[in-house]
Amino acid sequence: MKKKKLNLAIKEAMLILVIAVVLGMVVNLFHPNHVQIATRRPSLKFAPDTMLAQDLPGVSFSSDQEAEDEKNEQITEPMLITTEQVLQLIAGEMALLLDARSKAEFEKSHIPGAQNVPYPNLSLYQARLDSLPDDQWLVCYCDGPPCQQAESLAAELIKSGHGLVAVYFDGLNGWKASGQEIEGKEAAKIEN
Amino acid sequence: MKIKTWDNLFLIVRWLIAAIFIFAGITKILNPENFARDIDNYRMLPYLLVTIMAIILPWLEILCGIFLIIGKWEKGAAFMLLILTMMFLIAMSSAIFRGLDITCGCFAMTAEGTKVGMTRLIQDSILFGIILIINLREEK
Repeated sequence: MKKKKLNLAIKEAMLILVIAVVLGMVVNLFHPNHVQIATRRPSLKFAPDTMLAQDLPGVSFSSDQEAEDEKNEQITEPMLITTEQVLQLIAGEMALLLDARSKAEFEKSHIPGAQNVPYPNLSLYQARLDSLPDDQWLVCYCDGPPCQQAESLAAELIKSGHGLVAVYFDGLNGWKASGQEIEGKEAAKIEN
Repeated sequence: MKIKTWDNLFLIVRWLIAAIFIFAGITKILNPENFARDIDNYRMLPYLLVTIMAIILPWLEILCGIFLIIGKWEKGAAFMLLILTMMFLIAMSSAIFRGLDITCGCFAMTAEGTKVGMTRLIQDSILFGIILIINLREEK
Protein backbone atom coordinates (compact mmCIF):
# COMPACT_ATOMS: atom_id res chain seq x y z
CA MET A 1 0.00 0.00 0.00
CA LYS A 2 2.80 2.34 0.99
CA LYS A 3 4.71 1.45 -2.16
CA LYS A 4 1.64 2.25 -4.23
CA LYS A 5 1.42 5.71 -2.63
CA LEU A 6 5.10 6.33 -3.22
CA ASN A 7 4.68 5.35 -6.87
CA LEU A 8 1.78 7.76 -7.14
CA ALA A 9 3.88 10.55 -5.56
CA ILE A 10 6.71 9.88 -8.00
CA LYS A 11 4.29 9.86 -10.94
CA GLU A 12 2.76 13.17 -9.86
CA ALA A 13 6.20 14.67 -9.26
CA MET A 14 7.26 13.67 -12.78
CA LEU A 15 4.17 15.33 -14.24
CA ILE A 16 4.96 18.52 -12.30
CA LEU A 17 8.53 18.34 -13.60
CA VAL A 18 7.33 18.05 -17.21
CA ILE A 19 5.05 21.09 -16.80
CA ALA A 20 7.91 23.03 -15.18
CA VAL A 21 10.24 22.18 -18.08
CA VAL A 22 7.70 23.35 -20.67
CA LEU A 23 6.77 26.52 -18.78
CA GLY A 24 10.39 27.34 -17.98
CA MET A 25 11.58 26.95 -21.56
CA VAL A 26 8.68 28.95 -23.06
CA VAL A 27 8.90 31.82 -20.54
CA ASN A 28 12.69 31.93 -20.86
CA LEU A 29 12.35 32.44 -24.63
CA PHE A 30 10.46 35.70 -24.10
CA HIS A 31 12.16 36.87 -20.87
CA PRO A 32 14.08 40.15 -21.27
CA ASN A 33 16.89 38.82 -19.01
CA HIS A 34 16.66 35.27 -20.27
CA VAL A 35 19.26 32.66 -19.46
CA GLN A 36 21.18 31.45 -22.49
CA ILE A 37 21.51 27.69 -22.58
CA ALA A 38 25.20 27.12 -23.15
CA THR A 39 27.84 24.51 -22.48
CA ARG A 40 30.58 27.04 -21.72
CA ARG A 41 30.64 29.75 -19.08
CA PRO A 42 30.66 33.29 -20.46
CA SER A 43 34.25 34.51 -20.33
CA LEU A 44 35.03 36.98 -17.58
CA LYS A 45 35.69 40.56 -18.61
CA PHE A 46 38.91 41.86 -17.13
CA ALA A 47 39.89 45.49 -17.39
CA PRO A 48 42.71 46.09 -19.87
CA ASP A 49 45.82 47.75 -18.38
CA THR A 50 45.33 50.70 -20.72
CA MET A 51 41.95 51.38 -19.20
CA LEU A 52 43.41 51.55 -15.72
CA ALA A 53 46.28 53.71 -16.94
CA GLN A 54 43.98 56.09 -18.82
CA ASP A 55 42.06 56.68 -15.65
CA LEU A 56 45.00 57.80 -13.60
CA PRO A 57 43.90 60.28 -10.96
CA GLY A 58 44.65 63.86 -11.76
CA VAL A 59 44.96 63.19 -15.48
CA SER A 60 41.41 63.22 -16.66
CA PHE A 61 39.50 63.95 -13.47
CA SER A 62 39.46 66.63 -10.77
CA SER A 63 40.40 69.24 -13.40
CA ASP A 64 37.30 68.71 -15.50
CA GLN A 65 34.10 67.98 -13.65
CA GLU A 66 32.06 67.47 -16.81
CA ALA A 67 34.41 64.84 -18.18
CA GLU A 68 34.25 63.06 -14.85
CA ASP A 69 30.46 63.07 -14.81
CA GLU A 70 30.35 61.74 -18.34
CA LYS A 71 32.76 58.97 -17.49
CA ASN A 72 30.87 58.05 -14.34
CA GLU A 73 27.73 57.62 -16.37
CA GLN A 74 29.42 55.17 -18.70
CA ILE A 75 30.52 52.79 -15.94
CA THR A 76 27.57 50.57 -15.21
CA GLU A 77 29.27 47.50 -13.86
CA PRO A 78 32.45 46.93 -11.88
CA MET A 79 35.57 45.89 -13.75
CA LEU A 80 37.49 42.79 -12.80
CA ILE A 81 41.20 43.17 -12.20
CA THR A 82 44.05 40.73 -11.65
CA THR A 83 46.63 40.45 -8.86
CA GLU A 84 49.23 42.13 -11.10
CA GLN A 85 46.89 45.05 -11.75
CA VAL A 86 46.15 45.42 -8.05
CA LEU A 87 49.89 45.50 -7.33
CA GLN A 88 50.38 48.14 -10.05
CA LEU A 89 47.62 50.30 -8.63
CA ILE A 90 48.98 49.97 -5.09
CA ALA A 91 52.51 50.79 -6.27
CA GLY A 92 51.21 53.92 -7.97
CA GLU A 93 49.14 54.85 -4.88
CA MET A 94 46.11 54.79 -7.12
CA ALA A 95 43.95 52.36 -5.20
CA LEU A 96 42.08 52.04 -1.95
CA LEU A 97 41.36 48.40 -1.16
CA LEU A 98 37.97 47.61 0.35
CA ASP A 99 37.48 44.29 2.09
CA ALA A 100 33.82 43.28 1.71
CA ARG A 101 33.97 40.39 4.19
CA SER A 102 32.78 40.40 7.79
CA LYS A 103 34.65 42.24 10.55
CA ALA A 104 35.80 38.94 12.10
CA GLU A 105 37.16 37.68 8.78
CA PHE A 106 38.87 41.03 8.18
CA GLU A 107 40.51 40.98 11.60
CA LYS A 108 41.80 37.49 10.91
CA SER A 109 43.54 38.44 7.66
CA HIS A 110 43.37 41.13 5.03
CA ILE A 111 45.43 42.81 2.35
CA PRO A 112 47.73 45.43 3.92
CA GLY A 113 46.19 48.89 3.88
CA ALA A 114 42.68 47.64 3.15
CA GLN A 115 39.60 49.09 4.83
CA ASN A 116 36.78 46.87 6.01
CA VAL A 117 33.31 47.52 4.54
CA PRO A 118 31.32 44.32 5.24
CA TYR A 119 28.86 44.10 2.41
CA PRO A 120 25.67 42.92 4.09
CA ASN A 121 25.91 45.66 6.74
CA LEU A 122 26.65 48.69 4.59
CA SER A 123 24.40 51.01 6.56
CA LEU A 124 26.63 50.57 9.63
CA TYR A 125 29.60 51.85 7.64
CA GLN A 126 27.97 54.91 6.10
CA ALA A 127 30.58 57.31 7.48
CA ARG A 128 33.36 55.22 5.97
CA LEU A 129 31.52 55.04 2.66
CA ASP A 130 30.98 58.81 2.62
CA SER A 131 34.69 59.41 3.11
CA LEU A 132 35.81 57.26 0.19
CA PRO A 133 37.97 59.17 -2.29
CA ASP A 134 36.80 59.91 -5.83
CA ASP A 135 40.29 60.20 -7.29
CA GLN A 136 41.44 56.67 -6.49
CA TRP A 137 40.37 53.25 -7.67
CA LEU A 138 38.14 51.58 -5.13
CA VAL A 139 39.22 47.96 -5.36
CA CYS A 140 36.74 45.63 -3.70
CA TYR A 141 37.69 42.12 -2.72
CA CYS A 142 36.68 39.22 -0.50
CA ASP A 143 37.84 35.60 -0.31
CA GLY A 144 37.24 34.75 -3.95
CA PRO A 145 36.98 33.39 -6.48
CA PRO A 146 34.02 33.28 -6.74
CA CYS A 147 33.13 36.17 -4.48
CA GLN A 148 29.82 37.96 -4.70
CA GLN A 149 30.30 40.18 -1.65
CA ALA A 150 32.93 42.23 -3.46
CA GLU A 151 30.90 42.40 -6.67
CA SER A 152 27.82 43.52 -4.74
CA LEU A 153 29.80 46.14 -2.83
CA ALA A 154 31.30 47.41 -6.10
CA ALA A 155 27.86 47.60 -7.72
CA GLU A 156 26.61 49.57 -4.72
CA LEU A 157 29.55 52.01 -4.96
CA ILE A 158 28.86 52.58 -8.65
CA LYS A 159 25.19 53.15 -7.85
CA SER A 160 26.17 55.76 -5.27
CA GLY A 161 28.17 57.67 -7.89
CA HIS A 162 31.74 56.39 -7.68
CA GLY A 163 33.37 56.17 -11.07
CA LEU A 164 36.56 54.25 -10.35
CA VAL A 165 35.41 50.92 -9.03
CA ALA A 166 37.04 47.55 -9.62
CA VAL A 167 36.72 44.04 -8.26
CA TYR A 168 39.85 42.10 -7.42
CA PHE A 169 38.67 38.83 -8.93
CA ASP A 170 41.10 36.41 -7.24
CA GLY A 171 40.43 37.97 -3.85
CA LEU A 172 42.34 37.24 -0.67
CA ASN A 173 42.84 33.58 -1.65
CA GLY A 174 44.54 34.67 -4.87
CA TRP A 175 46.56 37.29 -3.00
CA LYS A 176 47.87 34.68 -0.56
CA ALA A 177 48.49 32.14 -3.35
CA SER A 178 50.66 34.65 -5.20
CA GLY A 179 52.83 34.97 -2.10
CA GLN A 180 51.84 38.51 -1.12
CA GLU A 181 51.92 39.75 2.46
CA ILE A 182 48.83 39.88 4.62
CA GLU A 183 47.89 41.73 7.79
CA GLY A 184 45.83 40.56 10.74
CA LYS A 185 45.80 37.91 13.44
CA GLU A 186 46.71 35.16 10.97
CA ALA A 187 49.81 37.07 9.88
CA ALA A 188 50.79 37.75 13.50
CA LYS A 189 50.49 34.02 14.25
CA ILE A 190 52.77 33.15 11.32
CA GLU A 191 55.35 35.69 12.47
CA ASN A 192 55.35 34.27 16.01
CA MET B 1 -12.11 18.26 18.03
CA LYS B 2 -8.44 17.85 18.81
CA ILE B 3 -7.86 16.02 15.53
CA LYS B 4 -9.55 18.86 13.68
CA THR B 5 -7.27 21.44 15.34
CA TRP B 6 -4.21 19.46 14.29
CA ASP B 7 -5.58 19.13 10.78
CA ASN B 8 -6.11 22.88 10.57
CA LEU B 9 -2.63 23.58 11.92
CA PHE B 10 -1.18 21.15 9.41
CA LEU B 11 -3.08 22.86 6.60
CA ILE B 12 -1.74 26.28 7.64
CA VAL B 13 1.83 24.95 7.78
CA ARG B 14 1.37 23.40 4.34
CA TRP B 15 0.13 26.71 2.93
CA LEU B 16 3.01 28.58 4.55
CA ILE B 17 5.56 26.24 2.99
CA ALA B 18 3.76 26.57 -0.33
CA ALA B 19 3.84 30.38 -0.06
CA ILE B 20 7.58 30.36 0.71
CA PHE B 21 8.33 28.30 -2.39
CA ILE B 22 6.01 30.34 -4.62
CA PHE B 23 7.70 33.55 -3.45
CA ALA B 24 11.18 32.03 -3.90
CA GLY B 25 10.25 30.86 -7.39
CA ILE B 26 8.87 34.24 -8.45
CA THR B 27 12.00 36.11 -7.30
CA LYS B 28 14.10 33.70 -9.34
CA ILE B 29 11.96 34.05 -12.45
CA LEU B 30 12.24 37.84 -12.21
CA ASN B 31 16.05 37.61 -12.03
CA PRO B 32 17.04 34.46 -13.92
CA GLU B 33 20.58 35.70 -14.59
CA ASN B 34 21.21 36.26 -10.89
CA PHE B 35 19.89 32.84 -10.13
CA ALA B 36 22.03 31.16 -12.81
CA ARG B 37 25.07 32.90 -11.34
CA ASP B 38 24.10 31.76 -7.85
CA ILE B 39 23.88 28.14 -8.99
CA ASP B 40 27.12 28.44 -10.95
CA ASN B 41 28.95 29.81 -7.92
CA TYR B 42 28.48 26.50 -6.13
CA ARG B 43 30.84 25.04 -8.74
CA MET B 44 29.07 21.69 -8.59
CA LEU B 45 27.48 21.38 -12.02
CA PRO B 46 28.63 21.68 -15.62
CA TYR B 47 27.51 25.02 -17.07
CA LEU B 48 24.89 23.41 -19.33
CA LEU B 49 23.11 21.99 -16.30
CA VAL B 50 23.44 25.32 -14.49
CA THR B 51 21.52 27.11 -17.24
CA ILE B 52 18.87 24.40 -17.50
CA MET B 53 18.36 24.38 -13.73
CA ALA B 54 18.11 28.17 -13.64
CA ILE B 55 15.26 27.96 -16.14
CA ILE B 56 13.34 25.02 -14.68
CA LEU B 57 13.86 25.12 -10.92
CA PRO B 58 11.89 28.35 -10.23
CA TRP B 59 8.87 26.91 -12.06
CA LEU B 60 9.17 23.67 -10.12
CA GLU B 61 9.04 25.64 -6.87
CA ILE B 62 6.04 27.68 -7.99
CA LEU B 63 4.10 24.69 -9.35
CA CYS B 64 4.77 22.60 -6.22
CA GLY B 65 3.58 25.52 -4.09
CA ILE B 66 0.42 25.97 -6.15
CA PHE B 67 -0.39 22.25 -6.12
CA LEU B 68 0.13 22.11 -2.35
CA ILE B 69 -2.32 24.97 -1.88
CA ILE B 70 -5.03 23.75 -4.26
CA GLY B 71 -4.67 20.17 -3.02
CA LYS B 72 -4.16 18.54 -6.40
CA TRP B 73 -1.16 16.26 -6.95
CA GLU B 74 -0.15 17.26 -3.43
CA LYS B 75 1.71 13.98 -2.84
CA GLY B 76 3.87 14.62 -5.90
CA ALA B 77 4.36 18.28 -4.98
CA ALA B 78 5.43 17.42 -1.42
CA PHE B 79 7.72 14.68 -2.71
CA MET B 80 9.33 17.04 -5.24
CA LEU B 81 9.87 19.73 -2.58
CA LEU B 82 11.51 17.12 -0.35
CA ILE B 83 13.96 16.24 -3.14
CA LEU B 84 14.63 19.92 -3.89
CA THR B 85 15.28 20.80 -0.25
CA MET B 86 17.58 17.81 0.07
CA MET B 87 19.50 19.03 -2.98
CA PHE B 88 19.79 22.52 -1.48
CA LEU B 89 21.09 21.07 1.79
CA ILE B 90 23.74 18.97 0.02
CA ALA B 91 24.85 21.93 -2.13
CA MET B 92 25.02 24.28 0.84
CA SER B 93 26.90 21.81 3.06
CA SER B 94 29.38 21.23 0.26
CA ALA B 95 29.87 25.00 -0.19
CA ILE B 96 30.46 25.48 3.54
CA PHE B 97 32.87 22.52 3.59
CA ARG B 98 34.83 24.00 0.65
CA GLY B 99 34.84 27.43 2.30
CA LEU B 100 33.06 29.14 -0.60
CA ASP B 101 32.14 32.76 -0.01
CA ILE B 102 28.89 32.81 -1.97
CA THR B 103 25.22 33.71 -1.69
CA CYS B 104 22.81 30.81 -1.34
CA GLY B 105 20.46 31.61 -4.23
CA CYS B 106 17.48 30.83 -2.03
CA PHE B 107 15.75 34.04 -3.05
CA ALA B 108 17.30 35.60 -6.13
CA MET B 109 15.47 38.90 -5.65
CA THR B 110 18.63 40.92 -5.16
CA ALA B 111 22.15 40.41 -6.37
CA GLU B 112 23.48 40.27 -2.82
CA GLY B 113 21.16 37.49 -1.61
CA THR B 114 22.04 35.77 1.63
CA LYS B 115 25.44 34.36 2.29
CA VAL B 116 25.79 30.60 2.59
CA GLY B 117 26.60 29.70 6.18
CA MET B 118 25.47 27.79 9.23
CA THR B 119 22.42 30.03 9.79
CA ARG B 120 21.14 29.34 6.30
CA LEU B 121 21.93 25.63 6.69
CA ILE B 122 19.92 25.43 9.94
CA GLN B 123 17.00 27.30 8.33
CA ASP B 124 17.00 24.87 5.41
CA SER B 125 17.25 21.87 7.73
CA ILE B 126 14.13 23.07 9.56
CA LEU B 127 12.37 23.52 6.21
CA PHE B 128 13.44 20.01 5.23
CA GLY B 129 12.05 18.64 8.50
CA ILE B 130 8.67 20.32 7.96
CA ILE B 131 8.45 19.08 4.36
CA LEU B 132 9.34 15.58 5.55
CA ILE B 133 6.43 15.74 8.03
CA ILE B 134 4.12 16.91 5.24
CA ASN B 135 5.28 13.95 3.14
CA LEU B 136 4.70 11.48 5.97
CA ARG B 137 1.21 12.85 6.58
CA GLU B 138 0.42 12.65 2.88
CA GLU B 139 1.31 8.96 3.11
CA LYS B 140 -1.54 8.36 5.55
